[in-house]
Amino acid sequence: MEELKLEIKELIVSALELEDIKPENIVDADPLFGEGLGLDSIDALELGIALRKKFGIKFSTESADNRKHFASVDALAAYIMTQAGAETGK
Amino acid sequence: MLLGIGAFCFFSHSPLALKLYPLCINALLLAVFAYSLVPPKGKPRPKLPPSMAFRFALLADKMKPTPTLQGSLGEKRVAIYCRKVTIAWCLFFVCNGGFSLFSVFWLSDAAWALYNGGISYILIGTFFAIELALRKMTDKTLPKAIPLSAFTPNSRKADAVLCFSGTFSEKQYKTWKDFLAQTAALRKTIEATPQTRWILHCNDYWYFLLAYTALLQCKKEVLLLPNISKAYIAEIAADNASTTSATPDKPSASLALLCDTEEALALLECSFHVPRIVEAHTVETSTAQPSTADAKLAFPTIHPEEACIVIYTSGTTGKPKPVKQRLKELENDNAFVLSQWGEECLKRKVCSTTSPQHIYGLLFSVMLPFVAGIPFRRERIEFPETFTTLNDDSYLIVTVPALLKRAVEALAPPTQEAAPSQTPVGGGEKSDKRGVGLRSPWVFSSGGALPVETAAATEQVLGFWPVEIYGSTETAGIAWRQSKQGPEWRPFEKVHLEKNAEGCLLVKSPYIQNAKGFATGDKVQLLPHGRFLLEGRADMVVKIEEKRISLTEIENRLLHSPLVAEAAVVALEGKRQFLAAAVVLNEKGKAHFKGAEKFRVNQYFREYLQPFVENTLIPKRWRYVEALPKNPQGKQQKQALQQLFQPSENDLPPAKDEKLKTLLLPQGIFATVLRQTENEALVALAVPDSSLYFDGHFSGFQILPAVAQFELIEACAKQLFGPHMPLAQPGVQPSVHSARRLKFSTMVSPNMRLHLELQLEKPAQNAKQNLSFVRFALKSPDQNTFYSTGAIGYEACERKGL
Repeated sequence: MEELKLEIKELIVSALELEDIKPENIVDADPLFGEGLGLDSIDALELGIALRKKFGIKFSTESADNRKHFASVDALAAYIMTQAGAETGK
Repeated sequence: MLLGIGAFCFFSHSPLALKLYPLCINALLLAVFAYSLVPPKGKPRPKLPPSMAFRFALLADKMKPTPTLQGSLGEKRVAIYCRKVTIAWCLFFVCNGGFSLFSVFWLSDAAWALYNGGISYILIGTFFAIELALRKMTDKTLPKAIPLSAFTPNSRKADAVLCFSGTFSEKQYKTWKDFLAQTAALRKTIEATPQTRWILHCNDYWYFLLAYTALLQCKKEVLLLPNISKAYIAEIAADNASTTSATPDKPSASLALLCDTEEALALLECSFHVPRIVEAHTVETSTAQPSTADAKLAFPTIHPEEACIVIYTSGTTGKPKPVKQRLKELENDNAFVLSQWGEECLKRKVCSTTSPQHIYGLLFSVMLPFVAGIPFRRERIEFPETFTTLNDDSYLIVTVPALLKRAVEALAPPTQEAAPSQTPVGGGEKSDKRGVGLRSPWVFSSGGALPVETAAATEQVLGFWPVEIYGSTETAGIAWRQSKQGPEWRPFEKVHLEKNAEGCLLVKSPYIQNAKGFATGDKVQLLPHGRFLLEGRADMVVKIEEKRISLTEIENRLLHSPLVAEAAVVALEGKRQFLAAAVVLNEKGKAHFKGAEKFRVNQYFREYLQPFVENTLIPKRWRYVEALPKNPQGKQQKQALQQLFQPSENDLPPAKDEKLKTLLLPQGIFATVLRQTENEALVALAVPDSSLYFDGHFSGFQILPAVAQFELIEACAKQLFGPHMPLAQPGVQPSVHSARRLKFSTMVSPNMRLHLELQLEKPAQNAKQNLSFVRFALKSPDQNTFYSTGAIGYEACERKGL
């Protein structure tokens, strides 16, 4: 799980071309959007694209669900785990 | 002519000529009616010619005190109906004329008189009567445009669907009846509140429509804000207090708020939750029978010239700029869109990715569907995945370039993603497979220019080449284009365009209240037929992912910080558009941040700006400098500023220890070698918009021509591999011999960051010793887009001159 979280953080930094911030500066439970990292809706879309590519996951068709998944590194990691579980469960 | 024929028949004293007179009249009318059906020649795709019946209808309409037909939502359907009527009349003339001819030669004089003098007229009368009855029936089924300022409780049927949730086939509808009842419930609350200026902020389009209508019915001023933070509202309230007689000690008391989120309720003392009012009402009315009679009695109408909507945007002064619009101009805008694309709109259901708090979202996602009676999706589409659910019906998608760019990337068929780097050949037959499978969609895009490549990708993935609308908060719609047909913009109807002394577009139109028009900050090149090209901004206003911001505003806000001495902001573009700020800290600032990590300092300023500007507009990159690059000319300073933000070396892909090598290419373009071995290399480059390569090749379009790409790639290959080619000998240099499998698949725009992958082919055994091939792939840094691929062959060429 910790490894996955670090991977997500690295992806956030590289996919969003963040400057000055290192993956370890990102706090797992902090909100990614709005306050905290201060990311915006465009970043959410970009991050979505990067996550789809890297982890081969799909997001929900419901905006409300996606907002929850994108809330923090913790939430993202949990979502990727369930998605991966669903894949192997098939 | 009729008289002429009549006179001839009468005066010729020939009974035959007289008897043929009715036939002549029939033939003449047939000719006139039939001729009106013939499409005009010469045009490539003629529109429906105005049939005789339609010409009469237009004439009759023009004699009314307020003509309603021309440019109306039903015009096209009326034209089609009239065409059918005209054809029917033609058939009638053929039959009637035929029988008249028969009666002249084969029937007695008495029978001739009976038919031509009586029966024929009765037939004409009957035909008229039938047509009139049909017309009345058709008229009822015609789509009616009902603007906000003209609707009455009886405008639509009680169960007419206005709005749906999710997809249309899920049948979670809101109807006309709900609309009337729920706006009435909101009016009760609004009327009981004295405030005249109301901030409206709803994410749900249905709640927005209800609150918007109710506020205008109660003659309140509607304020639409891009950002509803406490600090931003306080600024607006303070501005408001200085212009009105509100109590100066508590300026926010002059404002009220309608919203649909719990958090927003805390923003103002006088704030109301739209869903709560509406839901409470639904419970109330389900127990007590709704008194529609009451609702009709108390029904207030909206005056289009008095109803006021104030949209806040970023102005050049660096303060929130209120733009006051009357309902009238907004409705004119809707009317134009419907006259232009009404039929296409009516075939579809509206869904939107754009907030209704923005003029484009307001006009297209709420007002337009309401006026035309087109059901709209109440939830905003925020994530590309949602598009995949929209295959149950035909939809009209109201969106912006920022979302389209990412949506087409996220939804592109996997065959494209998997495009292998070694052989990007083939796959052509797979790539035109639709990504999402929408049913004949329509896409409107506005807020900023849509890159041609995104438009083309949209056609591939969503199935429609978007129609772009150019407008602004101050002017509403100005022009439109579908870039498939070229980059030039076509003005909306009745829009008058000029180029002012500053080279900017001056707009006069029925969509702007001020008769003097409005001078935009967009530099323009006027073309024949009123068309034009846009050539960037003339002032400090920029668009970051379609969000408009004055750089001065951000600079001034930073200067307000007690820790800042000087600040300068520039707009940059990488994978996305963003702002970057260079800040000179004052002594206090330097002391405050002593020893702090840079990202903490960044965070401080980000949080400092957060209350006033949207996240998208907060600078993403920061530089703390001793002094700002200063120059008498603003432009030079801008370039020097941009230089500050050039990616540092550690931004580039890892795995290289030696210092990065720079190549000098034709036209003074630099390329950075990121990786190089004896037979393989990766080079980063970008062609600046100032380059001569962008001049002239495609007028108006800034695209790097294939020849230029080839020239740059060839120069790179030669410099990197020249010494390693088997043909390398002293006194001999490689020169281009031939090219293989050249493919220029995606257009390259100015300043785009490009990666060039080069590979020196091993010489084949039977190949000529003096020929070497270098394979190349020009692609985006994220490897997702291939701009061009191929191979260049070099042969030895003796050095001349030396």
